[in-house]
Amino acid sequence: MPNIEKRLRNGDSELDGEVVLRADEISKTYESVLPFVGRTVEVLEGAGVEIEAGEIVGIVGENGAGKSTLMQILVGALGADEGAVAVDGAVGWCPQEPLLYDRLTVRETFRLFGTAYGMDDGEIAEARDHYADLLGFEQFLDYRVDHLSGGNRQKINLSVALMHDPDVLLLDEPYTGFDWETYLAFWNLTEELTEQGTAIAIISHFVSERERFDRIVELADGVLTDVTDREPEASNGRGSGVAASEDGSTPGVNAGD
Amino acid sequence: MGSVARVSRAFEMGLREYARTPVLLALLLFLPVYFVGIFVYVLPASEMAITVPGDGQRVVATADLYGVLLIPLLAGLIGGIAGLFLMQAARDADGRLVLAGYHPAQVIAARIGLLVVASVVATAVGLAVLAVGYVPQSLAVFVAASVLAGLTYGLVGVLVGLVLGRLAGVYTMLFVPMFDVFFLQNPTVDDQLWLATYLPGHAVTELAVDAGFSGSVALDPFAQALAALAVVGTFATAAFYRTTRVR
Amino acid sequence: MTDVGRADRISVGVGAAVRAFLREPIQVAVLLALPLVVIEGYGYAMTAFPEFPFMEMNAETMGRLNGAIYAAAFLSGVMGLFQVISAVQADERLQLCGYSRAELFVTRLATVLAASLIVAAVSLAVLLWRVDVAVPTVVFLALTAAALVYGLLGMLVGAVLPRALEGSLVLVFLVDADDFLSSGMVEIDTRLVELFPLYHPHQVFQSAVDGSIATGDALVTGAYILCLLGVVAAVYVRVTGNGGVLRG
Repeated sequence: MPNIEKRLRNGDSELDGEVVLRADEISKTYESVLPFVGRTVEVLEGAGVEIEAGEIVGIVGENGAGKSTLMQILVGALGADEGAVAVDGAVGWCPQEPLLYDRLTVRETFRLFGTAYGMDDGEIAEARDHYADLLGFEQFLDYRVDHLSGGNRQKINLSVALMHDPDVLLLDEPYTGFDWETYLAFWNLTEELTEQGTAIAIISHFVSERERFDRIVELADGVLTDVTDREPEASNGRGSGVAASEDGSTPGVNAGD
Repeated sequence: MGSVARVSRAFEMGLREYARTPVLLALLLFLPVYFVGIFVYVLPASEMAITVPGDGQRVVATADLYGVLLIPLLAGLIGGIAGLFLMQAARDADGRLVLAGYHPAQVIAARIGLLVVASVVATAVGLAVLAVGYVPQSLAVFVAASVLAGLTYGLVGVLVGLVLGRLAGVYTMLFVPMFDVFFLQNPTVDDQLWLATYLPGHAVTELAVDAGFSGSVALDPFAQALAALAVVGTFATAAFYRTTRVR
Repeated sequence: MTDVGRADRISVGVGAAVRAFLREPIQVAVLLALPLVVIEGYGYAMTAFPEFPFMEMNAETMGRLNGAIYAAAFLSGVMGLFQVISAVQADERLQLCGYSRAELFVTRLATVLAASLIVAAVSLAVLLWRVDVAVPTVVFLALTAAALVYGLLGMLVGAVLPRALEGSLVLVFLVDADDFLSSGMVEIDTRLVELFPLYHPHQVFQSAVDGSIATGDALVTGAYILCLLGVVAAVYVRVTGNGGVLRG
């Protein structure tokens, strides 16, 4: 059985130097349940990546390339068929779909996940108020999750990933539905976090502000390639997955909520 | 935070979710009134001869008989749907909760606690409505059997939630307990279908009928009921565990 | 838009609805299995009850007849419910694409009518297997009428509660209570019972099984359906916005 579970928390790390997350030779195939019916998709074939403390890495790729699958494997929500993942420290994961309890209020959501992270009630309240202020959802603290708009739900989704001050942040399209101000607040936050030494990997469909990232890796044909120095394609934005709009605006982010 | 504190917090949040699930609450309030109303009050009075396990042939009022059958049925219906909803929520967010630091066993313990509560509440509501017309003779055993019915079917609901969506799942968990307890386990039927002995409702219905009409109850079926619970429970726990862990 | 085009558009709409239905195997399975399960189930259940003294036929047959009406009414009711759920989601947009609201409404109605005919046929087929029926054509019409009544009521339920699970659960118990109380199995104040949606269809149905045709009840059923049509039309207008302009 391939060595998949090598998750270390605040203990002896076999990772050198500044590296806090390393994935080696990750392979994953989705097989159809019945023979002769459906597709067998080899999503990842020997993909590998290293992330260092204080880095922001952008993960790009075409729709369906397997970025979310890769991240789920890095986080431990999905098992790879082959390969190993090693992490030094606590992980915060913001999945693409808000995996939250619809009928709980925002306050209750923080209490539940805070308990999971091992935080006491004081720490939970502090984190909750901090992110409510930062991302702008103080007035929604007593709203049920399913009564929130898409953008606000995503703020909660992201906050749950951040609240316990993780060492490694894995974010899958974290600013979907954010208004402009929250979007800017998000990038301010990432700057602060990286200064503290948090490593961040962000899956994004577009990397219009490439300067914000230390590195950009592209997932294509099952493997990751560093494309930091590659120029974005001019007109159609395909291939590299890096799409800068012609008028400089950021697609996918709402101008108003 | 200790294990107990974690389990209680997950349990508390689960209760809040249940309280905010209109379908569950509506069924909980409506079904007892509807069923008991029709079977106990609307149908004309009559009597039937049944075999009370451990007590022999008795003639009982039809209304009382159906009343007695209805309580474990109600517990099974509500418990089953509660279990179904549990699994469906579990498939999404419980996995994230485990990744965040809960041990699957802690989440499972909280969820089973919720099923117990659902069964107890359903039994209580059903009994409250029935008690206007009839009170089971051995109340303690009767309540225990009904809660057991609810819990067993709750775990069946968890398994059904693995495969079926919300709509199909609810209808399945309405139909199956009714078919089991009302049709197959009905003591008025002379030739019980072979299938009846293997269904979750078998032992608990036997206990409920016995407790409903006699002062001393043969407690042997409890062993069978607990065995049924253990079997379903093992599968449900395994399914739950797999759903919240690495796939 | 010509009148020929209008007829085409309606038939396209109905055809699409039928195809969409048939593409889900579980829906087809329920359509075929439910009447069988309900008819046999009710028949079996009734054998567990003692004979009610005022009933003209034996309990098992009574159960089966009730089951046939239940299956037809419930399935059609659910179809009506789903039509309105779909209308709430899609019809305003379809109006923007060129359908007139009248066309959409007629399409929805035609689909419910088609559904009523189909479920009545399936229900009758299962019933004939077990019960001898004197005038099958009238029995079929009675079942269709019962189905249509609840198809329209299902649309009303959908207007109030446009959710598949909750709406269908309401229908389950509504049809059950109506079917049971209208069937004459228990003694109830006749004046009250005559108002129940399934009362007159039940009379036509039961007499056709026996061999007579209850014309009076048939006429009342027809009037009932026409009244329901009016209510449903008004509700449809309410539910799908104002003349193609999306509500703000």
